[in-house]
Amino acid sequence: MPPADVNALLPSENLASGSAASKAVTVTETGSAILQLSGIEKQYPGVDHAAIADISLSLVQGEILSLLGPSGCGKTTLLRIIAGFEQPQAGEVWIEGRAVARQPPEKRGVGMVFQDYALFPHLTVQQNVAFGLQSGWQRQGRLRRANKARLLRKLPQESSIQARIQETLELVGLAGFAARYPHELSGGQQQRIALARALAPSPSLVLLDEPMSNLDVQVRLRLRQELREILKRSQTTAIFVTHDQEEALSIADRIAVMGQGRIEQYGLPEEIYQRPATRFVADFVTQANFLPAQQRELDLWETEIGCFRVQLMGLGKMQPGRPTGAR
Amino acid sequence: MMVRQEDILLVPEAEMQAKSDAEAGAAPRPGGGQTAVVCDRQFLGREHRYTVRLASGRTLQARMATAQAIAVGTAVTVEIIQPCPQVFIESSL
Repeated sequence: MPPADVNALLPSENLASGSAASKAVTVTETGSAILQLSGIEKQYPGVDHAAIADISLSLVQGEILSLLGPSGCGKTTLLRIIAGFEQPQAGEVWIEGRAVARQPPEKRGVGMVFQDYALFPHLTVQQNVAFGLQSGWQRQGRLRRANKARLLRKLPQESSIQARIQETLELVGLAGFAARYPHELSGGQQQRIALARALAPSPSLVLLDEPMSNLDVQVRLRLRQELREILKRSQTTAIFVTHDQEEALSIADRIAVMGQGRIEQYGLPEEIYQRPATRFVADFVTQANFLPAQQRELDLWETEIGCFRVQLMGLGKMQPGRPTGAR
Repeated sequence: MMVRQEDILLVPEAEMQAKSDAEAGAAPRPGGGQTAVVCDRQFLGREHRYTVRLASGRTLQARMATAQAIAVGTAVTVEIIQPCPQVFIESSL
């Protein structure tokens, strides 16, 4: 069973940062947890530091989480652990209350969208979207023979596959493209087909690994909005990996900023931007200026551009304060 | 101390002098006031991103609406507008 106390799964920085923690707990308490990670650790052989170090978090139904961080921070590794492509050395992954850390990817009920779309070039759009559903149907046949009636109820009937394909293509706005091949589509359209393929089996969770990094700027900006609308309309719980701060801030309900295998800060986009917990987060998310400052009084700090009053908030961080106008 | 690019206001020295003359006797203006020189300007559409060099040689970046463009080489006063800066206690600076 997953831990009953969801607070235990929130990143420690979040719990330490007051308002961020309370908002996270409120949201978690009102929804059902689709994904829970507890104490996930991963270290690759021959590497002296952990790729993932003690990560815990919780994600509720319909929520969009962004894993945001620079290259090599562990965000894709964490996504692959959730998907089942990597095994953690410690910790557990719960999806809809089932412990799945030792389960293969196909038994996790997770959809995946890759950076390079990964569409089958020799199959039409309809056949690509049908792929996941047909696999489910074939599995259904085997299970029927094995008299697995309980699992059968969750799998689509062959007769409903066409309807589901049409429904999913309409959801991504490409209903008229069913007979086309991937090479006949633009990059943005291909990625929407990849999303349709992932959404078609109605997975518990959709994982998107830098889904827009191969697209040009104009398409990327448009797809940001469309991606969020599609996920919200289908009430899909999703995690997407990105190193683009603007993308994370504009699409996600919550953001986990990662650095060196850890979650540096977890919170609402506004919290991450307005109250960065560490200099790393401030630097990565806001590209702010940093000036050396000398403490002149308990709450008075002097910089090259003036003196500012701040209030001590916690170790390593001071709350914003008012400028004094003094030099 | 963290200072966001959008929280920096650059006021050309000439304009600042005119304001000072007009506001003579009024309460002192808050925050900042350091003189700098604009050494680069990038057009971003709705905004310009300015790079200014302080007297120490340190550079700051500021983003301001394109309504008023400040030429490269202009002497400016650097002011900090609300919300105010945050401080991170670290040894890396």
